[in-house]
Amino acid sequence: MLKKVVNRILVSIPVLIGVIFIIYIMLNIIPGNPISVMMKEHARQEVIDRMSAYYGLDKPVMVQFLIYLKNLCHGDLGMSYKLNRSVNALIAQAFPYTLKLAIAAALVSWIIGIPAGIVSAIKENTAVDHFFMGFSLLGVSMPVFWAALLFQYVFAYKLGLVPVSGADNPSAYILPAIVLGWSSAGTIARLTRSNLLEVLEADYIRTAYAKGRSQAGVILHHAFKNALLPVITMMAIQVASLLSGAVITETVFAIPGIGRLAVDAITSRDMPLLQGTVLFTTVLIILGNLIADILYSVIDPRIRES
Amino acid sequence: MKKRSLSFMMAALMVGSMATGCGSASNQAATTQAAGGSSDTATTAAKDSGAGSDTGASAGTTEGATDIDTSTFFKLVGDNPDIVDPQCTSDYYAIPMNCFDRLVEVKKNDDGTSELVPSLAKSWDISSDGLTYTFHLEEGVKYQNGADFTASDVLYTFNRLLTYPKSVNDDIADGIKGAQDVKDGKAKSLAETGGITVVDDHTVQFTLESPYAAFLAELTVPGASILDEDTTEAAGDQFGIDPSVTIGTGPFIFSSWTFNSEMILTANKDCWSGAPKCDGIDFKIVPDEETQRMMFENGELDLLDLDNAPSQVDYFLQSDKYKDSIVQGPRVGVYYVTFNENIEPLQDVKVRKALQMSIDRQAILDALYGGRGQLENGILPHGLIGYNADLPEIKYDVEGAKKLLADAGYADGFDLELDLSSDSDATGKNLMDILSSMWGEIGVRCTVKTIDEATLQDTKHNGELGTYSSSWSADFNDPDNFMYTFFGSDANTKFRSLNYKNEDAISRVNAARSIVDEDARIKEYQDLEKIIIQDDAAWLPLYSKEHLFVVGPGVTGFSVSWNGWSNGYYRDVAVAR
Repeated sequence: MLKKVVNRILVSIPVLIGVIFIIYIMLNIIPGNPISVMMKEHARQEVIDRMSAYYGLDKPVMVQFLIYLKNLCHGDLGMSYKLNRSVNALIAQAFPYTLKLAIAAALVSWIIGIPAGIVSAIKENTAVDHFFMGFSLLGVSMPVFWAALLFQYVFAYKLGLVPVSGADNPSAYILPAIVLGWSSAGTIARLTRSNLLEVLEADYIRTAYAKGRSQAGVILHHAFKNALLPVITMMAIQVASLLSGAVITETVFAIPGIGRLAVDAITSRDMPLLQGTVLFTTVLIILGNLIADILYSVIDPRIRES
Repeated sequence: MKKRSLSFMMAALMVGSMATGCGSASNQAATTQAAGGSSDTATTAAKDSGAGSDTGASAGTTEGATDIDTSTFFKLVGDNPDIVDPQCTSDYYAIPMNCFDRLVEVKKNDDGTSELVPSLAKSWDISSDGLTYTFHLEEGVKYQNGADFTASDVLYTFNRLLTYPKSVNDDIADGIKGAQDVKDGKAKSLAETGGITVVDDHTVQFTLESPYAAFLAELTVPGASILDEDTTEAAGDQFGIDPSVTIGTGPFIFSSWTFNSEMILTANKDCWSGAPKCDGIDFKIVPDEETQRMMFENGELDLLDLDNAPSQVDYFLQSDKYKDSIVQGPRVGVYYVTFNENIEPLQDVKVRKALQMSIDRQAILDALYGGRGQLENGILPHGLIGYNADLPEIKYDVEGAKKLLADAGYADGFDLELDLSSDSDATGKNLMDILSSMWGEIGVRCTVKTIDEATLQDTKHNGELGTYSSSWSADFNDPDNFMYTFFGSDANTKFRSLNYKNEDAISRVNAARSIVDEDARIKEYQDLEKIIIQDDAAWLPLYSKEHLFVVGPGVTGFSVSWNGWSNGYYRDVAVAR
């Protein structure tokens, strides 16, 4: 088990280096000078030249890349051109907001998604099934920005139940968590339902019924555990992607998370910050998959043994 | 086998995740612009909005105090600055204006005009040759941390403008004797070059390289805020980032900065010029326009700047509840459309004139801004010193334009590229569509090309951008701020992709800076404005517009700043809860 985890981590290293290189080169061939963008109409050539030299932007791209790599080896993601702060600190500041939102949204999606999937599978093709599947289809299909604005309008503005926006008040996370969670819940509910239906067709389930176990016992003890495997993968990937920042939701609800940081970095050509956020996200996704794999092994003895 | 497939899967997932990262990010960029774009950021100059991001510095979420009770504070949407160091920002002014003071300030009169008034300098003398400015400083002024303000701080401030690596406002000090030597490292200080002499603790003397009539006016810009030498040096690169070390002499104290979310100023009750009328200011950083409106209506904001939420203007103007709460003032700035004289056939003055004459500017102002503004016919807008009310109107005359085009040999029209920034809001796009259609009337076939903002800026600075629209609002009340910026040198006209060719006019604009006689100087600027815009048709002037704010209940003392910026002085604003 331990060997497997170590193996997986080792495999990630060359991938990570490849990613760093590709990101760096891709971002640096996009035209545009961060100083120009920052100063807008007030830009002057003299200042652009001086600041570019100050940040080392006048050096060849490969030299800049090597300097970047060297700093990266020391765990230093560099200084943001625009924000005058270290990228490490910026990510450290933004991440707690994104983390809070991601956890809340993930909980919402599991609490709604898994039971909805189970009930739908048991009550296949009944009104209950149609209701839950319709509900989840709606969650998946609604554009997030639209749902966000709609919820904000109804629950915060019209009914005044929660604040319109904000980042420090826990109640301000309720709406964004529901908006984000609902859309993930839809996927989870559908996946749970289809897997459970598949498993329920299996021979051992018939055997379990034949042995006289109750429906609840069969579902929870025999079927659900097996149906859960793909769902766990999906959950891990969803959490990792929630952690990489829900840009639209963060914008609408004014939550200063990773997503907004990345968007601002792109529009302002703030390369160190952009590289930092993309790299951070990449590591999160790798970790998410790693955790899913480990959970797999815990749940499924066949994988553990292979 | 299994391992291999696993690693493939992982690689695929990672690439997928990168794609999602980038993809969602660019989507979002579009969303932010459509929704939150600052009205004139893409285009405006002296601007104080901007879709930036912001932050605090070290780990933790809030820089500065965390337990401030803001319930009685003046609450409004703030911009999202990168840094609030007055010397390092060219588009964020709220904190420089309210937490710092300058030697001289601008006061807006009831009739809409403005004048220079004493501030940290209680009086000044100017030598008859216009070269030497002697400032007599207020005594007993203290910084917010209790340090004394003295003449040596003034010297320090201007030295730092020239030498601090991240200073973007060094041009304020450019005219001081020996400034270039200080920049180049040939001299350590302006004191060494004879540019600034500290006469005593409360007297400081500036000597200019050559007479520069706008010097006093330029000292009012946020970038010329006076800094305390000891505090600022000790703060190092945290100055303008960490509130506790960002200290000025102004009526508000910068108290807290929460990452991308909120900035809080508290009243400086011991301020040398008197305490402000409210307990503090709470700037909330809210990118979405709908969200801003809802917060305002919910009483979570005391002021809504409609330049930050242009999509909400009609809602408020048509609302019986709010239409009487709207306060407006002119933005002293000009919207214009450029003609790049390096691009065929814009080098022909007849073509440029035809393009000027074929645009119905009043119709555009009505369509885009409900007529809230005034047509401009030159460079210097309404409200600026030197504005020329007698400048002939650029008449809308389609037939005349067609004739001019035919004379120039383009009876069948020509192709013209209009460039639009990806940061533009809906209004910017509409303007391009209207221009295309109006120029279409005289046979000019326009293509509107949307260019990523960063690329657009680079192309513009290289002098290669096609026709685009932008605006410039006054940083300080002097024609120099407009004339020199655009037409003061070949480099300046190239930098904005105008590539204006009239060398005589360019050298006269440069020379006008040094004319000591005020009337003669203004007359020269007005003559030049006519030559550049009306005779040479270097650009198409459009209009200046009104800046609208909605003021919440219980707020008194708010007025639009003299130049119509988003942020002015808030010391007179009071809030009753």
